[in-house]
Amino acid sequence: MGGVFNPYNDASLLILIALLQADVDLIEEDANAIREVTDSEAILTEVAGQITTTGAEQILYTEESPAGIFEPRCCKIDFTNHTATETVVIRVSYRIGPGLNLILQSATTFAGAQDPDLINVDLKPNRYGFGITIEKTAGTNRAYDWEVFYEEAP
Amino acid sequence: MIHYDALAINRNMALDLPFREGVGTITHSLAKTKPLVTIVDVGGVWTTLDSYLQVLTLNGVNDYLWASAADTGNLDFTSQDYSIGGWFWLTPGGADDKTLLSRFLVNVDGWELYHYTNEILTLRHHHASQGVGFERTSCYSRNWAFNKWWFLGVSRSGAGVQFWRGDIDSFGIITTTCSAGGLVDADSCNRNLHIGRDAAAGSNLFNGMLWRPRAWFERYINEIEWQQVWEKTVEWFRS
Repeated sequence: MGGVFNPYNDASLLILIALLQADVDLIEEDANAIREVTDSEAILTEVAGQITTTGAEQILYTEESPAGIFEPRCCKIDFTNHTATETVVIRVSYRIGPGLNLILQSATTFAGAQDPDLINVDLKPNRYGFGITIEKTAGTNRAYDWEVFYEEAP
Repeated sequence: MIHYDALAINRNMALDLPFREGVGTITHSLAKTKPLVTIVDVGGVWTTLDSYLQVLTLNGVNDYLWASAADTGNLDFTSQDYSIGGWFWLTPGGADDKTLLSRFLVNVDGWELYHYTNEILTLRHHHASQGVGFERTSCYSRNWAFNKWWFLGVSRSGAGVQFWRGDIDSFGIITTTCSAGGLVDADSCNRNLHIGRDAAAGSNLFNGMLWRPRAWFERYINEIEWQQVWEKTVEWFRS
């Protein structure tokens, strides 16, 4: 009898369910891919502290062995306590391969009172580690507040 | 721009130590409040995992970390909600009682989080104000086995405490048992924070590895939030 059929059809429903499942699987793959990207997205982070010079070369801040590529942005150092009689050297070093030494990239001497008091040291992208040191070479030992910004995956 | 303070999970973060330095005896907290955390490193604490993650290995003999009472005032947990979490690996041997974090004086004031050799992890409050025989109350969870990485989340609200646990495969809520009547508010404590040691020098030292201990003040981290923290960090421990 043409034109008469049973609207309930298991086979048809199972085919539709399989199609839906395939779509869900695709969505899950996309979601996982998005998740991998967002999980590895770097966030801007800050650490800070204070260091009092001793006359030796002292580590101001270091990331000796980062877990991956990251981007240190800058280091700010407060020279408010630094007077006309003090001289300090700020050194920035990077490690550019696994197991290598930290290699000096810049050494900047600050002699006498600074104007303005806040010094900014630019930092560069890095994978194997970097360090900032401070060494007083003349004058009285002083306390320097510092702040480092960097972007790194959480 | 994504930045640390914009992440919801970081609201009221009081301590966050990712151990990124990899060298030296100072480690820096990413939280806005910045305790100066000093590492007492006798055994050579800095350790790199296969994933290149930096963790600390405390030798169970004389390694630990500390920060001054003045620098950790917002870890003076008394009546408020708070949460503590992180990853740790317990190595057998050393003290039966291995302290993860503490800021207390026994039977007087403050709080401590410690693991006992029977694989029980306990959060304990000290409150001399409750009188003799009632100086401390605690909550605990079981089956924190040795020799594997664990993710811990513990949140306190009022008399109740809840532990969550993760490993490299899964995360979930776990049975938490409290003292009769629940956790009593700790007495206010103006003492140093110790990580890997209890209040007394050389006492109950932690033997094993630690990564990213975190603490939140005035905040009960819920299950979904703990799971987010676990999901964000578990990959470091899978390789």
